[in-house]
Amino acid sequence: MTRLDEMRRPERGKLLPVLFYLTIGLLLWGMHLTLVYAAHTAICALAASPLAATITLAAVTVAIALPLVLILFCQRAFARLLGISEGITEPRIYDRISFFLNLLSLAGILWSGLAVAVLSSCAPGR
Amino acid sequence: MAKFKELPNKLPRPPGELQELERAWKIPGGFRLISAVNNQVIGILYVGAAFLFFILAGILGLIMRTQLAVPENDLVGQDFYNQIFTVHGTTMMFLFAVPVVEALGVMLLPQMLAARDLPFPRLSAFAIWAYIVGGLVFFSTVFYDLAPKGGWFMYPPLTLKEYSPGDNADFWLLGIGFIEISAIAGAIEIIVGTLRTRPPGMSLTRMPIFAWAMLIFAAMIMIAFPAVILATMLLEIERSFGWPFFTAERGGDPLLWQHLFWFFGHPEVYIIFLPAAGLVSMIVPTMARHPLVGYRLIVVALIGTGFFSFGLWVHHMFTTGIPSLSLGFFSAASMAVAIPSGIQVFSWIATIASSKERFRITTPSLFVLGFLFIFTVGGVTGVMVALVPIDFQVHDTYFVVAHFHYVLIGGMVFPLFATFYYWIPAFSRNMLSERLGRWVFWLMFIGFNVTFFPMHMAGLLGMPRRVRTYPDGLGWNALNMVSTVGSYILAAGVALFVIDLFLRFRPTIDKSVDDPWKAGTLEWLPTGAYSTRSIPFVTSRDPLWDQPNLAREVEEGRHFLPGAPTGGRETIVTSPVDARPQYIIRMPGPGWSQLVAAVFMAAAFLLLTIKAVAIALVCAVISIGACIFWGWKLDHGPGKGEVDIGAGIKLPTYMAGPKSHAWWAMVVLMLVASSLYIAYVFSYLYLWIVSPEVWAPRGSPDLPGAGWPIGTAFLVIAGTIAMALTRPMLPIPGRREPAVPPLIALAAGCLVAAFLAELWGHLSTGLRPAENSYGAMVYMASVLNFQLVFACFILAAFAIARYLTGRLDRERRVTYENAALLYYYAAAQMLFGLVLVHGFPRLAG
Repeated sequence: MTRLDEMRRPERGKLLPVLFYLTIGLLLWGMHLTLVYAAHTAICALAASPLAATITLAAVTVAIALPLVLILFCQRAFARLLGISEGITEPRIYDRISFFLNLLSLAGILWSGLAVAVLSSCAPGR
Repeated sequence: MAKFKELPNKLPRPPGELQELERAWKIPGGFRLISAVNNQVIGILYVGAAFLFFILAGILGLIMRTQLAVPENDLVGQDFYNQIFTVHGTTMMFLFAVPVVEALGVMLLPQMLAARDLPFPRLSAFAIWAYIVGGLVFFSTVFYDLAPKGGWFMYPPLTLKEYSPGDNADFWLLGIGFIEISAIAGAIEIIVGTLRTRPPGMSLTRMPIFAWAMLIFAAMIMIAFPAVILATMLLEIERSFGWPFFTAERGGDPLLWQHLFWFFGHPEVYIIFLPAAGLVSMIVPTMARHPLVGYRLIVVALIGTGFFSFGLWVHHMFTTGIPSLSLGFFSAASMAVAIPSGIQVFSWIATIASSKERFRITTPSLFVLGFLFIFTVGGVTGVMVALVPIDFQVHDTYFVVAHFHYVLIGGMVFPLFATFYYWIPAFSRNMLSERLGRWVFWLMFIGFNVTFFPMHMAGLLGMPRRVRTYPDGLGWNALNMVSTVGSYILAAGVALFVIDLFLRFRPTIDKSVDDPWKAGTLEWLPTGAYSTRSIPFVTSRDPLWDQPNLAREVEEGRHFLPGAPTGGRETIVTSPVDARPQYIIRMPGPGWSQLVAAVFMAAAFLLLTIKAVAIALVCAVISIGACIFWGWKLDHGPGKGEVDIGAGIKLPTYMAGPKSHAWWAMVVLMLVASSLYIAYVFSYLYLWIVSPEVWAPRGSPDLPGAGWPIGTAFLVIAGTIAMALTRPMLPIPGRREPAVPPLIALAAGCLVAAFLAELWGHLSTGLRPAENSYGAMVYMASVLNFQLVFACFILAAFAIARYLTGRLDRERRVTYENAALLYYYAAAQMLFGLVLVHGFPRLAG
């Protein structure tokens, strides 16, 4: 419960780090989708090399999924790195929200990335 | 008055305090009501206007259903049918769905946050009047054969001048572009309001779910809408001046429109759905008499859906020939978004199931239950069309029409009606009739399913969308007749609701029904024109349940800011994360400037549609003049010093710098501008990647020599330095510093010169925008820069005028900071543009 005394003190949490902490997984998911879509389009349009496309996309998926896994395992350390103080109201709620969003994002990245393993690159859609 | 350091304050309130508050927040009467800016007044007006558009677009839908009731019908002609299906979709999406949720935000958020109003009340009023005037003119085109005919997504090449001559398509492009600007203005208000005007103690983790939903909604508008604004700009420029962005034979690509449109269009679905889900998350706990189960997971779902929705746009383009692996990425994302949506549904069911008492079956509950059923069905067919092979089969058939009506009507209209029945008591002397309400629900629920369920089958039988009629003997007759009968049942439900409104809805600010549902959130506190008598100290998510005496204490003025210490309109600005009081914001009262600005800006856009350029420019000048007059009175300065808000807390009545709400609004505006520019960069690179051989085409003039971009960059950097140097030179109050006006003027001059240099450099090589898509894209960068340079020029002139009249100094500096922030952004955009336009072709070529 927040005490009235706390209202007399300056804010301990900064919005930008808190938002970044909550959405890091989703930002990585967005970066993954952008990179795989752009890389696939560019490689197929300009180089027409399915093998190069497949290798690139698999590498991008792994390169983005790994840091996210790391963040999932070291959540509090990541929060401290961003300067998010334990003194903000209900810090554990932010931890939980961030954890679930990161989990969701990791699933999204792996789910999208899996397409590389089952579909041939550069083949036309229809 | 003696300081009392605890809340509730037990000391007697001083005489005249309430009267002072009432005087400050008095709502103008008679015809001057249109100059009002109180959120309750303009909120009711806003919701009313949006509902009117719902009725009008619904009538068009009924005409379409009547036409399709039997095969080979000729009730309406082909051309008129094209107009009405276009206006039906456009009105439902742009004039009803988004505005009505924004309206609910304007109306409900200040009450839920116990703020006296949102931080920019005139901006809200401007957005609303712009929307009403622009929307009514746009809709009226259907009455005189001027309505657009290209479907609500207006795909080129059909909408290019050669296939859609006349002004019809221009009404869509300029009208909708203008209304998007109004939506963005509302979004800025909602973002800053939600983050900065919460009551003390209401940390982000205690924010009502609807506030979370509106925050995400507004952030999504900020990112998604600029894409469609750019698209409408490109198409209108191509139609008016022949710059070939979408013409394939000159290097353009019609698919660029689809990318830009759906980058907006798919998040638009969630822009509509998330606030509706937020409303449901407020209603369900009240009816279950149990706190929301899984608050954290619902926040996860809202944020996750908001992000994922931006990764789905290509699923509207599965049949356009994109490589199958790319389709796989977007198919996966389209299926993944079902997870956060499912989380919300299960949280609501869990809340209902967790209640120790029976879930109260009221009219709002019925609409919520109807929503759960219909939206889930729509979600299931959504997963079906996310699968590429199924999408190939049902693309552009009535199956898709059925799917998106299940999602949009189920996901948004049913929660909206639940909202009407649930929250009208907070703004009316009477509740709506429960007996009629149940009739309304069942008519709408049955009518909806009878209308739209058969469309799934019609679609699977191959009936395409948008056909005016169909031949006999294809097996579609009975299904279409059933759909038409259903649509009249649905309309009867809506008509009964309108009758109930006329009979029982009596708007009021201070004599509303007193918390009939016994809810736990702050909008049910007793209110007046000033919102709540005092602003509560919040310690939980359901304050009215957890602090049973809170309503009485607040009404007796025993919490924060019980009066009007500065003598005007004000509310508390709190910190964005923990909601600790930071300062008092002084807000403007009723006025005409926002109304004049909105009406004349709408006139300027609409006159451009019919190519009445001179009169349009006059209207634009009047609109800008009204904005300047409006802005002139906003920066009050720190003259009122500090005021006591209660509990021994004293706050300043003026704030500049990163804590100020004006600074936040400008940052949000810069994010909108950057979204627009990113959409442009995407378009530039997209056209290059689909036709690298024409970038630039053979025989095109060479790029300007390196001296041009270097000189332009020098001017931009010099201007930025001049603007930055102005800050430490601002004089202390009462003193003068003669260097300030010349420095600001120099900065503005450098920006204008840089813009002209960039333009002249390309003109001097002989490159022309109408020749090919490469030239069009090069000059488009200058069009986007021009908007910023113009805005910076106006803001710089405004800052100089403020300085010369003694209204700008080291303390009273918000005007300067706003001008400088936009200037720095404009400089960054121009420098990036130079690298792109001058560097990329050299690199790629």
